[in-house]
Amino acid sequence: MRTRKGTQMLRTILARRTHTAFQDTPVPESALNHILTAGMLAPTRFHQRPWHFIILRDAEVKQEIASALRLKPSLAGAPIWIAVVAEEDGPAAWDLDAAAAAQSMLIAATALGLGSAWLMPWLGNPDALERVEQLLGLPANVHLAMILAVGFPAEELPAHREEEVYESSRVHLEQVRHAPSNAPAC
Amino acid sequence: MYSAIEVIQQRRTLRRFTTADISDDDIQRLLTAAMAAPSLMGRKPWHFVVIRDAEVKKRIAEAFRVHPQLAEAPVWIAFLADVSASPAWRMDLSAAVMNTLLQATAMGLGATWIGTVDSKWTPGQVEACRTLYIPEGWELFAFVAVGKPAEQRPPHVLDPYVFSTRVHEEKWGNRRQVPSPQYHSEGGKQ
Repeated sequence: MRTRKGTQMLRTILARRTHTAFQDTPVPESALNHILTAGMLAPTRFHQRPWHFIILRDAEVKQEIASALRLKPSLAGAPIWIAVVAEEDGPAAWDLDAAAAAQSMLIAATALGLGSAWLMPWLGNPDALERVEQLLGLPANVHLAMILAVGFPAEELPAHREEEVYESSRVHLEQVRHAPSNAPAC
Repeated sequence: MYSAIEVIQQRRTLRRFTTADISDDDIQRLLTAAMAAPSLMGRKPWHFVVIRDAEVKKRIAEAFRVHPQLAEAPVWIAFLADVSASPAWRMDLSAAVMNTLLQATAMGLGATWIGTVDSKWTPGQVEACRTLYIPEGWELFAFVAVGKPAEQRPPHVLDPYVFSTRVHEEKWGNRRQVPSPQYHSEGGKQ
């Protein structure tokens, strides 16, 4: 059944695009609070809530991290970065909990008319990750999961189109359809 | 688009669903939301299996020892990852699940995330692998049970203690002093 709220939600989800250039206009505190709240209302495994959020506004700090990570310099121009970090919580689900919180925050940001980018350019580069974790002053049991750049976009990007996003080849009914050579693993 | 904020607050983990089926159109919208999630380098490591067979749901629920009531949800969606497609498949799939939960909530449906990813070769994984015919190189990341809710749970109220202890400024340990304005006076129950 199509509901107004459902349609609106899908519109927001499809409107989320990765932005790499931002206006200088500051992000209002109330918007930031909504975004952080959205992160903290995301589900976590066993309700462990392993995440913390470090707000970065200092231009020099952002630039230093951006250059350590070889990020596109315009990303450092986002007025706010949110570093999502998480304490190790027994079974390694901190990355999943952080990712769910991150996505919740991006949806909230989109709903508030803000642009965003989900950054984790240190995959496969442990030295860069360590350097950034040091800059953030993280204790040994706390890991950097991702950085979200948030700000009013320099340029409006068109929303994703529903018919392009939905790929029926990825949807299977009751069982994975196999190519004949592709046997199950069990 | 502001109502997304409301939906985020309304999303709750549900256990009880009515037996009313979910339409294919609704499932397509849930999966559109999933596939609109960001993924590292746009690699989209996800695949989905829509499960309606009551026997299959029951068997998998038993094997994973999840709450039996969850098997009564009319639809389970299995979230699978092609691990070779992206080193960030765990996070990418997490974002896809999150989108699905929010989309379901907005549509007045209940959706519950059943995490399975860290239980390789447990009875549940083996049962699911055989039943869903999961190929070599793919991981069963999670199930999402979807149905019309048979219980109402009030929207989330964020614990102000959590809000005030989890936000830092510029550096770890430099706690932000501002309390959550919109939830501050609501008490601390989740």
